[in-house]
Amino acid sequence: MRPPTPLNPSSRRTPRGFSLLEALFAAVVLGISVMAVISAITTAQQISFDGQKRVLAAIAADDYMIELATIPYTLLPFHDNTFHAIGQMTTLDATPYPNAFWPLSRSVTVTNATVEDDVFLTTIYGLQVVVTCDDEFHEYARVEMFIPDPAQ
Amino acid sequence: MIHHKRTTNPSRRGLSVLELMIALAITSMVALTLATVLTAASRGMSDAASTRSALQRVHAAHVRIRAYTDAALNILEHDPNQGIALWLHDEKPGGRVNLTELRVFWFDYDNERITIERIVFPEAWTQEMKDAADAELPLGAGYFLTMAGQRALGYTETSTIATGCTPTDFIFNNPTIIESNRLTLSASFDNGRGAAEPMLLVFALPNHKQPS
Repeated sequence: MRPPTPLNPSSRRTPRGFSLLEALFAAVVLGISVMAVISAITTAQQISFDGQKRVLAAIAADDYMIELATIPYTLLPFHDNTFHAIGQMTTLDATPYPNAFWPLSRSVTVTNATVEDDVFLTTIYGLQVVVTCDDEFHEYARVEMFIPDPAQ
Repeated sequence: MIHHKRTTNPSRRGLSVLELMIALAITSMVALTLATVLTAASRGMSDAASTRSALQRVHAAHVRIRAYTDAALNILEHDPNQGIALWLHDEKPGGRVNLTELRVFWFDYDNERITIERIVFPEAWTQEMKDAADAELPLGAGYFLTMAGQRALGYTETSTIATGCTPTDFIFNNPTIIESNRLTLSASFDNGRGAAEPMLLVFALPNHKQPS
């Protein structure tokens, strides 16, 4: 039978406080953790804000498209290159949008377009209307509609 | 005999007052920064949640109302205290508004909601009875009163299409309501925290036509 191993005196920890170096090291670790939390919160807020902008942009783009659908076909080309700068969006009747829409701008393009009808083998002439809603960096919403020429 | 000797080895002592104060100062600064950031983040999250809540209401109201206005033929009547009457379709051709072609958006300011009401005749009726009851309405008839009358007879159905919503202003693109094919509705939407978010809802009637 083996005799019990005596405790190694060098492995015994003597009670003592933290040194300054240890305290600083702990503060640095805490600081890094705080930075990580701040970064995560900022990212979450950015994503949340992005989602809100996306919803607002979809509403704003869709609104303008349905408004354009009410004006006569011959007047549509006059709305080509319409641009509402950031914070200056208005309805077709010049009613300004509320503050919630401030980060967004809106632009319209109207171009001649054709659509091939595979069933009747004909070409339909008309206008392609595109409404986009962006901020200064990204496009958040795009609505496209082909409006056939009623005179055709 | 054992002699206890007091040691002065630095590795066996606690923090000095100076070291303790430096450590406390650093910890306090970190804690203060953390508290400030978390407070700001919490407020930001709370604001974002409120805006999101209002936006969900806005989006739901927008989609539901547009499901009617995109297809509607005419805005027949408007009363800011009551609502808007729409001519939804001309199912019975002839260019006149029949009872079943009428829809009324009611603004319930007390409960902050918008409802839509339509006329539905009893299931037990034959098609002939329904056709006979589906009367043509004269142009400029009191559409709100007509709907109220049908409701009193038990011939209407009402659905809620927007909640937490209080209309504040209506702008038509023509001074004559039945000639208008665009409507801008300013409304405030409850953000779930008792505050209101002002919004703009744009509606248009691309199939606009006037009843005869």
